[in-house]
Amino acid sequence: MQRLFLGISAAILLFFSTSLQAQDTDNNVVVENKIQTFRFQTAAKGERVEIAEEYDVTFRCNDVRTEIPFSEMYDSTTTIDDVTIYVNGSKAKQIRPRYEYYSVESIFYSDARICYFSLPLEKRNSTSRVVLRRTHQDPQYFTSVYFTEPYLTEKKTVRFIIPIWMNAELVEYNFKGFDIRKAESIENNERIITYTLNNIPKPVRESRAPGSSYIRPHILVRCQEARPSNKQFVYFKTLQDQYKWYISLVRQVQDDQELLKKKATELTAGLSSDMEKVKAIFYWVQQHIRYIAFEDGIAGFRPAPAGDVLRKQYGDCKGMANLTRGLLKAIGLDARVCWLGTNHIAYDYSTPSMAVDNHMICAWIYKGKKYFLDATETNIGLNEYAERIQGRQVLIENGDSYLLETIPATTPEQNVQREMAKLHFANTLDLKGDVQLSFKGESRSDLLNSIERTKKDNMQKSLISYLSKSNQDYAIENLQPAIFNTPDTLLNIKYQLHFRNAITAFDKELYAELDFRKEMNDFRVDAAKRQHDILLPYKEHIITEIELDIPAGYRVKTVPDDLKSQHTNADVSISYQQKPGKLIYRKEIRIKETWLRKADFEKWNTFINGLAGKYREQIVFEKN
Amino acid sequence: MKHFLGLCVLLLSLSVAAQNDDYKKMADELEQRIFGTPDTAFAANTVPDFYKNESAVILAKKISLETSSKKVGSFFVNRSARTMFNFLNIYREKILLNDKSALDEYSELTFTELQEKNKTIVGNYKNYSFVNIRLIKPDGSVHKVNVDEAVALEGRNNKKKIAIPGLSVGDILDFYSVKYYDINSAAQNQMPDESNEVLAGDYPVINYELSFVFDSRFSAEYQTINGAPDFKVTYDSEEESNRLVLKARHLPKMKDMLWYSIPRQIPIVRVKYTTGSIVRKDLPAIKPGSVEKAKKYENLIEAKFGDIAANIFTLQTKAGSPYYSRGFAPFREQFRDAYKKYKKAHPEADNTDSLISYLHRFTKYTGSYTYFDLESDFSSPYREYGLYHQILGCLQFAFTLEKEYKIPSDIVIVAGRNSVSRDNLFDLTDLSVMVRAGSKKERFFSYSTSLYQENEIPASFQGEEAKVIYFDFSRSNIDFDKGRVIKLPVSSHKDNNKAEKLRVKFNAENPEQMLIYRSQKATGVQRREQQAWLGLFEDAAMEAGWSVGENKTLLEINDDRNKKSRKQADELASVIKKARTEKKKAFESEIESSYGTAAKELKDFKIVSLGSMPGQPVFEMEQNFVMEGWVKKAGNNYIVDAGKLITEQLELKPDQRERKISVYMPYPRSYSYQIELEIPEGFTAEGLDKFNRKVENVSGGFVTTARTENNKVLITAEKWYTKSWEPVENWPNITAFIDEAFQFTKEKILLRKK
Repeated sequence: MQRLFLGISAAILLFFSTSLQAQDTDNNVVVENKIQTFRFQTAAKGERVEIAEEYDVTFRCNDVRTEIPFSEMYDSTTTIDDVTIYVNGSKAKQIRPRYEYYSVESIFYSDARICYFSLPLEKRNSTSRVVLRRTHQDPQYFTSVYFTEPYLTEKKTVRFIIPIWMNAELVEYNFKGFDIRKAESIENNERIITYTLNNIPKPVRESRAPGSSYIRPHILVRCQEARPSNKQFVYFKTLQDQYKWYISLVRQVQDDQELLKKKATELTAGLSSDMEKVKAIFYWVQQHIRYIAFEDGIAGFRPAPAGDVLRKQYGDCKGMANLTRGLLKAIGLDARVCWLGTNHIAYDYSTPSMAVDNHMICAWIYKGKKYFLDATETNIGLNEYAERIQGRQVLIENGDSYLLETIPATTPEQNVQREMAKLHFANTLDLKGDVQLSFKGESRSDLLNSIERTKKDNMQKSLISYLSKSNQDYAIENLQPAIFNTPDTLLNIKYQLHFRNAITAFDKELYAELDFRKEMNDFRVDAAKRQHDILLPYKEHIITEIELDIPAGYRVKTVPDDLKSQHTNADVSISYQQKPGKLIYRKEIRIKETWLRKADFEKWNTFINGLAGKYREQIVFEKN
Repeated sequence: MKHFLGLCVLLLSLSVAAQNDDYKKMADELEQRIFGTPDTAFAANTVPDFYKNESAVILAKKISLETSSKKVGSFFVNRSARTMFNFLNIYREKILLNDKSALDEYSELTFTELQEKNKTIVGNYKNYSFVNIRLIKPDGSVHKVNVDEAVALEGRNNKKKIAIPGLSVGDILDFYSVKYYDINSAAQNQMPDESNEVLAGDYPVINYELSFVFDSRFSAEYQTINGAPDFKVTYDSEEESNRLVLKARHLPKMKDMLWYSIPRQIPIVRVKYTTGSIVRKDLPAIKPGSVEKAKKYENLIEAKFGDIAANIFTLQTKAGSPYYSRGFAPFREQFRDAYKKYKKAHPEADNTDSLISYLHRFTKYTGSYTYFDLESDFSSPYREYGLYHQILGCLQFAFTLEKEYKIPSDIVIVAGRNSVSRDNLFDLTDLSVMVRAGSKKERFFSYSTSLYQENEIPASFQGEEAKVIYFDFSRSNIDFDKGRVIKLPVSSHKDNNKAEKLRVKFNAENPEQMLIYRSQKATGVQRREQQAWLGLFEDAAMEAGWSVGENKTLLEINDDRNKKSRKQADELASVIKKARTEKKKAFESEIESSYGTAAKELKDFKIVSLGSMPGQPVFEMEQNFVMEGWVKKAGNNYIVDAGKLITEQLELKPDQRERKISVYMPYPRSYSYQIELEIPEGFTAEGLDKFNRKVENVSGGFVTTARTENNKVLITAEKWYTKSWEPVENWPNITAFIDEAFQFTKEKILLRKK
């Protein structure tokens, strides 16, 4: 989807800014002033509307002279018309901007282009200036204006000049906490909306932070309709308008029905129930079609023909969704394509815009229930949903109209990691026994994704390394080969364990800590430094149960107290139960909410400290 | 296969404009020749059972370079431009992709598309590149990939990218890239002249072939070392060309091994070629039309190296040379004045050995610490110098001694363990250089980095054979016949030592936290490593200045330069200050790297001695930090991971235990630890018996002791690697003490409540 690209390009720009930050943590360079204007106007003799953007930005060096990378993006719907560069007050004709393809690591090919050059700031307190003109040729694609710059911005003015014939709504996001003032006037039949910003800090890039649309001040521009002179241009005034455009692109795709029928029949041969057939097709697409992202102009919104995807065995989300839909329809099932925004995006379809979604999947409607099939999630089962799409609004194909629903929200029970071990003392140092692990949902796909990234000659080793956390004392023997390619089943792993040096012996006492995995042990947050909320990977339910035979001639002297602890995002309980000849350790961690808010960091750290402290506490056995 | 020069795998090349007829014709001919002609090496589509668990297997790989030439131009064209040389590079690979990881690696190819053709008075130039890809499915069906589906990467020098369609795990990818280009004889400097191949890579190779065709205007010389197979050389009288073909089967993949040397242990093939003759001192030239296998002629390469040194010397000393005004003569005057001044303050320095020491320090100071600007890296005193600057430093040193003070010295030419052995010298870049000087000519001086003090020999040179020569500065000449081969001295593990003293207390408020005072002293190579990591350029510059009698700060040096520099003084001060402010991060990362765990808090740190002053070759630092997670509650008692206090120890992976080749380690080295662990009031310490260990053999050892004294646990540990190189037979010796040290880190002490 094109919007995925837009989202990523924003992230990349942010990366640009943060790579600078690394050198510039002390605000060596600031934006002294930026004046930016967006003017809606007619073009091509009134046959279309465009937005002329012009800005004049002045950078100042506060401390040590430097050169900064200056860049601006454009693509098939935007042009950079003119760039004028001033260094220390003089026009710098020797600096020639370069214009070239812009590559983004996760995207195979896009129409993104970059104009860039190196801008010198010649000495302390010197300034350099860039005046740039850019045209957004289609209001439909002009969706957002972000207020942050790669540097601390001392002053910035953003002005929208919107003729009264243009219906464009400006929706403000994330203004709270920033010095942003708004003024609005009407002059010469034009609405002039001016935002004046002071001291806007440079964005900080942090791992697992919410998407930019959640945290950076910006305007979502909703171009709805234009009526210049006698013309009328309708963009996305309503969600129906947006859907109409989307479905028109889908309808342009000519799928080879014979080919789809042949393939679907082959994949479902011998299967009788619809459920089995859907699984066969869904899992086949997951496993055999490589995800490769294309974001190329209109092709960024129109799925590739299913026949092409079948032949090439790769496609983007649209290609994979359309292929899944085509194969299901070919055997008479009710399948639809769906649009949605992942949890990277702050908006939903209440503000129709191309910025609200970035993903396409397929829905299978069966006995009134909708099963959402996202084949880009390589190892997830039917009716299981990845954190990034669960609970998100979804726009479902439905003839000329649409259905607006929500992907079912997941619970920790979808993603279960369960470990059951029966251990005994091999001697006073080592434990031995049988271990069974099972992984379900995203716990399963997380494990498989990491295993699949390793080379085959190391696959067994890689699985052992994953399970043993690269601890050679945790020796895994007789590992029973797991069945990896049936995503809706539990991934079961069994092995015999010889855990050397698991016990510490002192005099007549043996000391043991039974929990080997110690999930979340180090998951403290640097509350003083961390600026943004944290998105945990997915909801999860971790269950560990270890039954230990008390060694002959010993008795349990001390067991740690049980732990029951709760936090907004997670619950944990650890218990130690003594039975005749046995000690049973049981742990449950439920990550019930993935959005960890900054306000909860201190409590989170207390929660983690309690868990980590418990992990360290020893069970003491004493010789009779 | 690693190609560290010459032919390159995915630097594939192809067409910007519509294909011209000539290009199309050549593309068709190549396809017929490569894909259309049976080739037994590429015939098989299956692999032997023992490769079945490999991620990918290269069924066949062929790399070739074919040259040809012809007369071009007319009588009016300069004679030197009357030959056009044609080069055809072909790279073909057929690989079975066995898993998703390999599939991902090969699923996208980026290549350059070239179809340039120019007509000139000296002939037609073509610069073409071709890519062709096909898939072979497990059922044997062959599918040609339409390369025209590749997308162009605008503004990226004709680069294109293709996602291979229809590719699945279990498929065989068979592809070639060809580059064809013409170079006129007048453009000698644009001609390729060497090819180096390391016969090992990420995947095993079943059939490997490397071939060259040199026409009668080319001469060539080649080398195959470390077990690489030889070329079969044949002469084609019809084409008047030499054909060199090297074939190998079942090349293993390069494993993730510990302590090995590519130039000394992995099969390598090197080929040099040129139009005209290859001239060799004291050996007959290799004439056009001839190919020779290189002999063992280390003297010849060393002599060539000497010629380069002589050229550098001439440029520095010959009036009229662009380097003259900043060359050896002005330096000599600068040094004369400085040394006079220094001797006044230090009368004891008025002797040959002191002079030599002073000269070395002076060249280091002026060369490394007085050249800086706003762009310089002030966060570290480490500066590394390339071969040219090493030669320059050595010659300047020797020249000043000889010309100003009539003290002769020697130039030392050595390959080092990071290069091929002396027997296998083939190229000038195989060599490095030092100076040997002193009243008894017993001390060595290296200019490899800014951190070498006098008589410190780079670890990779130690124990190696080196050629010692005398450079006759009067005649700009080296008499190689008088040169002799010596074996360079080696340092002992004691010379490269890191000694740690730790005083450990438990936080009274939170006994699960350790408060650690750590002091560290490092010598030899370990000193230089710590200097580079934790030292600051400014501090090293000041010490280097003091060592030669200069007291100027960096800002004062800057002020002395010119008006322009003075204008930058404030900015320079900021940059220097920032480097100091940010140094804490280096200390924090050093703790994390040493202990495998980040400190909860680094409370304070300081460098007691940078170890760069003469006579004080010890780096010394102190720090206080808090460590959490190493103390565990056990009822009323505590278990302490005391073994972890000796820093993280190497753990061998199962694959690394079996070894078939000798061991190339960086240098002989030793580590010592003295740990005082305070027993908290009301507790006793138990379990010290496991802290007394001893493994000692000819290759090294690990010896520890532990006892309690005055309410303290006292632990000592020593670990050492005796040599930098060990025969494979000694590997069990090394693993014995490595394992012992690793096991030690798991040992625990019980603090029992009284």
